[in-house]
Amino acid sequence: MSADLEAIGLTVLLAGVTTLVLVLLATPLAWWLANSGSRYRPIVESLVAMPLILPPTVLGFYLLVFLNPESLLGGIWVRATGQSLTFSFSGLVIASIIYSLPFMVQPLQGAFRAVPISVRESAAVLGASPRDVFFNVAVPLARRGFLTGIVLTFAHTIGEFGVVLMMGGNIPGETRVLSIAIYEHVETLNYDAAHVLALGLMGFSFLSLWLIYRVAGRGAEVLRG
Amino acid sequence: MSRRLIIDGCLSRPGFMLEVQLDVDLDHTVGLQGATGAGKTSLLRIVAGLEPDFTGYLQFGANVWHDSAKGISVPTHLRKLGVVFQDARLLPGRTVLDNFRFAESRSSAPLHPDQLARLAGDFSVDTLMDRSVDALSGGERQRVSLVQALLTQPQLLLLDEPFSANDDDHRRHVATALSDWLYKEALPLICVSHSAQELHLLTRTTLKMEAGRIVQQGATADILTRDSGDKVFGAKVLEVDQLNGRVTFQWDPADAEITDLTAGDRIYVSHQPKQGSNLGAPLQPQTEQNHYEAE
Repeated sequence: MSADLEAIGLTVLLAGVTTLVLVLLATPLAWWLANSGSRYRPIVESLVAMPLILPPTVLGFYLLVFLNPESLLGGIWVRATGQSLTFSFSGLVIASIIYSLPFMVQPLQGAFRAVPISVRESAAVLGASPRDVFFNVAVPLARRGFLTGIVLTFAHTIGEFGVVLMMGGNIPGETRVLSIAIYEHVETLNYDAAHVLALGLMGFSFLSLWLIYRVAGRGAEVLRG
Repeated sequence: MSRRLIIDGCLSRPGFMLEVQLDVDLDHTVGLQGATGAGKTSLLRIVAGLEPDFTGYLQFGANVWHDSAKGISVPTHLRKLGVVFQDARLLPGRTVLDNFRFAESRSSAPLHPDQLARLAGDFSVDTLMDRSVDALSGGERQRVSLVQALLTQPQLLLLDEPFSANDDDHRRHVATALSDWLYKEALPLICVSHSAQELHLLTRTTLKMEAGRIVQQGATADILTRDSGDKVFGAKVLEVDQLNGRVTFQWDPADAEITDLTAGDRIYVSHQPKQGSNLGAPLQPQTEQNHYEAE
């Protein structure tokens, strides 16, 4: 049981760090996507959305290839920190950021796009600089998008399995997250323990989505496709 | 301080071409008139720096705001403008007061502490302060937007049909209040309006636009007269009765075509300033510009 608690703690930590990093990364990216007329925009949009359709095993496989200590990036990381990016918590954070990227970017992009250009123009004529408009007009108006993105990213990272299995393995306290723990319980025919965790995840997922649909209302259109 | 506005450039869009050569002195308030689609709003947006496709030259006073040849384009928020768009855009999801605070805190100069209260009173928005802007009527939005624009202490006021959604009583009231403010603050104005009454009240010079070009530029009274068949009379003020708000005029004999006037008719009175009494103000004292019953 204490091993399961450890898995829960690790999972929440992973989801928390991932969500925090993604808010910082995805906000400027979503703003650019929402406003850019660049011909590269569809390319970037496609790349961002790819984790939605790729099997997590594909993602995990390539992360394993490009981040292992013998690879260029993985080697740099090892020299800089003394740690491997594969089969480590840091590696899982990077994987989760990529894996959950569309869940943060898309609601934000939708929310930013819904800020009428006319509102931004009127803020500008009142003397607000573009930065001022972003922080004091666009972000407050996009708060539902932020809520949706944060809840979705967090919940999605909590439920991550394939990518973790591919490049994290099952190291207690390091990479053994909830879904892996459930998998292991089922493999060892320990259904009671699997039930506790699985039901817990069911409840958590329902609550997250309920929160989004209830609070974000129309802001959650992304979820309805 | 010079307030010349110089525009020389063009804006082309599919199916629409705006070509403007303009040199106008904004010491006199300026009206912009023309049919729908003539380019009035686009012209205001060019002055406001909201048309990124504008190519050419734009200067207000000593400041070059746009010069395509030199790659200069001063961004909108640095032009110290007050703008009221036709659809009276406000910051959604906030109260009227929050909208005012947003403008106040970005004002180009320190505000008098009573400024908001005075503006709110003059433009009849003082009872709306705690309302959400999303629940305002069209006329209320326009008045709130106007007060918001004035709160930023603009160097130049750009108005696009600013009273169109107000009923007649409010229109007259707001236009009069505005013309008082313009005079007090010596604030230059470009105002798009279809209403001859508003143009008479608020502006001295009128530009007329057709199909993306300025086709006439002249004194408002002249342009509107040519347009509407209005008659312009010279008249001498014989007596001013401040107490009862009565003024007695004597028509100049040469223009004495007053046979079609009867007691009870409404007329516009446009006051020509005495030589040397201008003192740089864009408008003369407004009391003479209000409407009096014909005596």
